Amino acid sequence: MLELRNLRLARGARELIRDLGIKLFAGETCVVLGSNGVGKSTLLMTLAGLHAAKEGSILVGGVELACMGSRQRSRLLAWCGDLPADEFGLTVRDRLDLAAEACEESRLLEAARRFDLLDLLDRDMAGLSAGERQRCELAALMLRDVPVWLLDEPCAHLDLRHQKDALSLIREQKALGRLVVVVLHDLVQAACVADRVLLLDGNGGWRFDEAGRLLRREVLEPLYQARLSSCGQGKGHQVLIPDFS
Amino acid sequence: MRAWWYWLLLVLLMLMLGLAGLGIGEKWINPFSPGNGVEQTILWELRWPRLLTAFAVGGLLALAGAWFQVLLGNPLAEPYVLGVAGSASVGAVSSLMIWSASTVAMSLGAFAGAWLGIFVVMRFARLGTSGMLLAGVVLAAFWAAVLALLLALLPERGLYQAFSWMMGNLSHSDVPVSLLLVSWALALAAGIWLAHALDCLLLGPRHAESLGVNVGLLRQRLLWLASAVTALAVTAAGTIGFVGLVVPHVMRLLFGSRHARMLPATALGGGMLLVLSDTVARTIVAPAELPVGVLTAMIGVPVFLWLLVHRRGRA
Repeated sequence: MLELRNLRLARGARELIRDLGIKLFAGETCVVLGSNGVGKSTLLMTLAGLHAAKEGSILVGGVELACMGSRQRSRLLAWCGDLPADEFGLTVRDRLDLAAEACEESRLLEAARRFDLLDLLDRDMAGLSAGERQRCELAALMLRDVPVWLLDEPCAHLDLRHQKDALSLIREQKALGRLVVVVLHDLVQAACVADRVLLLDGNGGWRFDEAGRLLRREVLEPLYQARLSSCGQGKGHQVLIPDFS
Repeated sequence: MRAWWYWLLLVLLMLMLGLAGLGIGEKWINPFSPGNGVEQTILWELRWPRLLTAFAVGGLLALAGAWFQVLLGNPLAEPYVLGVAGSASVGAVSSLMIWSASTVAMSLGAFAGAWLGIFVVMRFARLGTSGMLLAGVVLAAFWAAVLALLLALLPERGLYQAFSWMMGNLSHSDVPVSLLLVSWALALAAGIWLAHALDCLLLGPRHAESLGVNVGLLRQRLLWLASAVTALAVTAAGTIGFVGLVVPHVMRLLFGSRHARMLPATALGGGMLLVLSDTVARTIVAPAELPVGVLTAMIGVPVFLWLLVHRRGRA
């Protein structure tokens, strides 16, 4: 479904990712983890065709991403990243409409209902809180009929209930055969959804493996330079929480 | 449902303003049955061309303003934001210095100046929107300095003509009305054709790109389109402020931000504002005329502020 070959990403003179070569398949969820500034969002934007890699290639369904036009890319990949601009008075309904051209009203309402946006449909996006706008982005994502979702911190700004909704949405994609690549900071959330994990160290290095092998204290403590505690098992692997004491 | 009322109101207002623009003047003329030959001449050879010029120029400026706002991602953008008005003024005043009192030469000078300004600012397009905006602001200051120098050197008899042109004047437009109307229609058609892509760009360039819009190509098209339209409007009527800034915002408040609805309303609204302003400008102190740019600001700004407070308050 998504193949990365010798991908090299850099920010100025600093090499973020070196020779990244992995294959991701339909129906799996890959969680990207790493500290701030290691290139997680840059990687996701590169996968979405919004940022150019220094070297290497990305294949989506066997076709090179660099050879695709914007429209063709948008039929294969959905990117959910930073919150959209809101200076021009778009409403929540407008935002959802733009996510899918000629979308049926019932689908739009279902997406809005799922993220508690029904009462906000005619509200100006500028008048929403960051959490409400994030919910709007997730609802818009639901309307994108594409095989690959690329999500950059989808639970950012959300309260606990809506974090759960967002994670449920990600888990449901497995049954639909959709590949989800998601950047997360919360290790509990990562343990809830990850099939495989990509760890980035920010110096060009990376590790890619089954979630159970990488979501471990001895792997993650050096990566984050923070102490972690185990608080049970989730989806067959350790659930780790940071020790803030 | 409310949008239909606004459309009805817009069309009724347009008809009323059209009739007022044709009828009111130093001499009242019934637009439906002009009396003697003199009235017919005034109606068909003076008022109709002037009314249509005002309508087309106003519409073009409003469309250009809407495009520049989306292109630069800045609600404060307007057609002259990249310095086109300044370079056009330099062109117009330069031609006044060479061929004094020739309005045709002034229009040609303005047209050449506007395009010179566009070509200069295009050199900075690769800097991205914020870089280009900054370059535009700096270039506008440069053109203003050149203009001040030219005005200081201009013979006294040319000063009135120069100031009259710079503050907007529809009384001696040398651009054919048919060209302006065809441009208005083509510009609106282009805007509607690009409407979905423009809607996506409102979310920001990354979101637009991920929704399938080729943002680089769209920006290039918008830049040329908005610049060409501005150059034509400036050539026809001098620099008329506020239409391009105020009208798109008013229409967004009334019709929403989706461009398929908002751009036709903007093209009509811009035309109507300029027709109204021009009618007032040429009649309120008749037989003298006020610069139309003064009236667009005096009418447009209070309407915009009232709508802004009213709509935001209701939201």
